[in-house]
Amino acid sequence: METLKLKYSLKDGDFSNAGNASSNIKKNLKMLGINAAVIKKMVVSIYEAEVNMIAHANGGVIEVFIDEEKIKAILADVGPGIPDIDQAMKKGYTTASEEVRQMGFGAGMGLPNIKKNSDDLKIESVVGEGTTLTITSYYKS
Amino acid sequence: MIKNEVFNHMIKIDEDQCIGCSHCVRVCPTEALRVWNGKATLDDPKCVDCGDCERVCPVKAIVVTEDFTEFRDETYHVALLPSVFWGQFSPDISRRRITNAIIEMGFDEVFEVEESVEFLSQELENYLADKKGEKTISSFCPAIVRLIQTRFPELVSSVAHLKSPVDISALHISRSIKKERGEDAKYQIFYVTPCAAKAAAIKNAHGDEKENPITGSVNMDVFYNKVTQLLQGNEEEEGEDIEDNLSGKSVGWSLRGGEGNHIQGRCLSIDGMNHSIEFLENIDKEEFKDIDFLELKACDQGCAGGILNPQNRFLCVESLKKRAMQNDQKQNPLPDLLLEEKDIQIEEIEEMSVLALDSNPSQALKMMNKTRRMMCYLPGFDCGACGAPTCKSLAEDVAKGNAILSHCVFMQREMEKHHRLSPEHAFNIIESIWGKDRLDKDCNKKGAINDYS
Ligand SMILES: Nc1ncnc2c1ncn2[C@@H]1O[C@H](COP(=O)(O)OP(=O)(O)OP(=O)(O)O)[C@@H](O)[C@H]1O
Ligand code: SF4
Ligand code: SF4
Ligand SMILES: [Mg+2]
Repeated sequence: METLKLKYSLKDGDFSNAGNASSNIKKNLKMLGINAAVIKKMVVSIYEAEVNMIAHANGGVIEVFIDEEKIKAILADVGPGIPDIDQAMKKGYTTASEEVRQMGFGAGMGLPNIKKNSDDLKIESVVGEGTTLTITSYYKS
Repeated sequence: MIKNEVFNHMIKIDEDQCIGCSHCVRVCPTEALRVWNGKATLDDPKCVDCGDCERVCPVKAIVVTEDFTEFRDETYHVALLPSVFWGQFSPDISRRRITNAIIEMGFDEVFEVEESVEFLSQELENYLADKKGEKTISSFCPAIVRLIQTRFPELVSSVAHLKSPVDISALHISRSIKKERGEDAKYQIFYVTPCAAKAAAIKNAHGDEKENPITGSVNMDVFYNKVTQLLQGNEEEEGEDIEDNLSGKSVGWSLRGGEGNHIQGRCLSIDGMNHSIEFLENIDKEEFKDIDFLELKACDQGCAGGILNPQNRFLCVESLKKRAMQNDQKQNPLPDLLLEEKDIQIEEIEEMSVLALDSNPSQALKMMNKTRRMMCYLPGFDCGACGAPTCKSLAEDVAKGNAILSHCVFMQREMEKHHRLSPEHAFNIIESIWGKDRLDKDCNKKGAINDYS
């Protein structure tokens, strides 16, 4: 199947560029001719994961695979890992630092929003090694 | 309703004038222009009538079509003028004298668009209160609305579903004519437009006479010349000037920041197409989270910078600011408007994306990959010698089958080196883009030995 591959590297704490990867992904999705509401949901979920990599995980790499029926984003970091994934998935749970909160992040809504706005979310995390999120969304559900 | 199967454009290229210089191609913010056969060609669905191309054309080959129907006899004629029109004149010419000149042209009444601004701004305040926590984008500038429909369809629902002052005023005028002269009264309302975008918006609204009673538009530069001619024959009259009823804040609605002036919440005012696009691309960023209202206007300084304004935009802004100060104490002309809240709502603003490379996603994907593969070869200079504004746009044209890679002059060199293209063929390609004999010596062109301009 024809697949478009995109790849982005994110630097730790680079908040001024937070959102650049997801907005570039959005630009690409718009050229595919899929419904604007569907694009919006996909971009929200990738944006949240992108910010998490910058805020909690020393940056990392985003790889995106776009084919004719779905988009799959794999976000891999070598950060501290998530000790309790179920807890992290709860609305309002956050370990964000004071600095991060002052920038408007840290409501503990990121992961729940990713879940809500995607068709499939897989989180693999090893404490001390890193976290990999795989987010999949289909254009037609 | 901002809904159209076929969108009418007012920007047109006058091929007889066009010298194929490609200045417009380089500035078009939506990459809607190419040079082909020595002439600029416009891809209509992509054009938003912003007028940026007109500003850079050295030979006035970009024209704004007029949408003027002849005056019907036995009809009541209204000239609907935006405040920037009044801002074209020196302060020592009275409103009465200008109005007299317009009446002399055959109009029966002169109405200023911004008279409905206080009414609209109250409704807008309510609208924003309902949408608290969401960013609302102004629906004022039709070039911006069109930009959003075609390139930011995901933001269509954020555009305020409220009519702009010109439509609101026209509705009021039509009702008051009927009230005074009977339901069957015949009337024509002509809007004097500062730009192609407003003219296009009016043209596209035709067909729904009850909702959109404007008959047509007159280009402001043409109208201004007519008025100034007539002014030469008519002297200032003795006595009081016509009363200027606009509230100070209404005067500047169409300028940059003019809408924000009326809004309690947080508002960003942005002018210019490129600034607006840059902002819309970044609208989701965290730093803009608490903004309530976005006032985007396609032209530098807002409508004072519209391409049909005959005078310098900064002088117009200065003149309107003065007037706003003078009218500072005036309240609004609200009680006279024959309008209700529901009259100014827009039902639907349609998504009309032009970004998809193909309607079939798998085909579009192939084209996207092909574009990226082409970019491996193209030099990335964005020189425009291929007739397209950037290397990327040439690559897209190639992927869509509208161009070939050897339109790039550097690719031609590369192919010649490997004996895959003859110099004759390369020359033919250049002529197919830039026109026959285009590279012949011509001492009359701009800057050449015979040019004294
Ligand atoms: N990539 C990651 N690496 C390490 N920890 C993470 C990562 N992503 C999330 N977490 C942990 O999960 C918590 C919850 O994440 P979530 O995105 O839901 O909220 P937040 O980032 O704290 O706040 P918000 O997303 O609302 O700004 C984070 O506070 C953090 O402790
Ligand atoms: S009016 Fe604007 S969008 Fe249309 S061709 Fe000119 S520059 Fe491009
Ligand atoms: S800013 Fe005003 S003059 Fe310029 S395109 Fe928009 S409506 Fe027209
Ligand atoms: Mg988060």
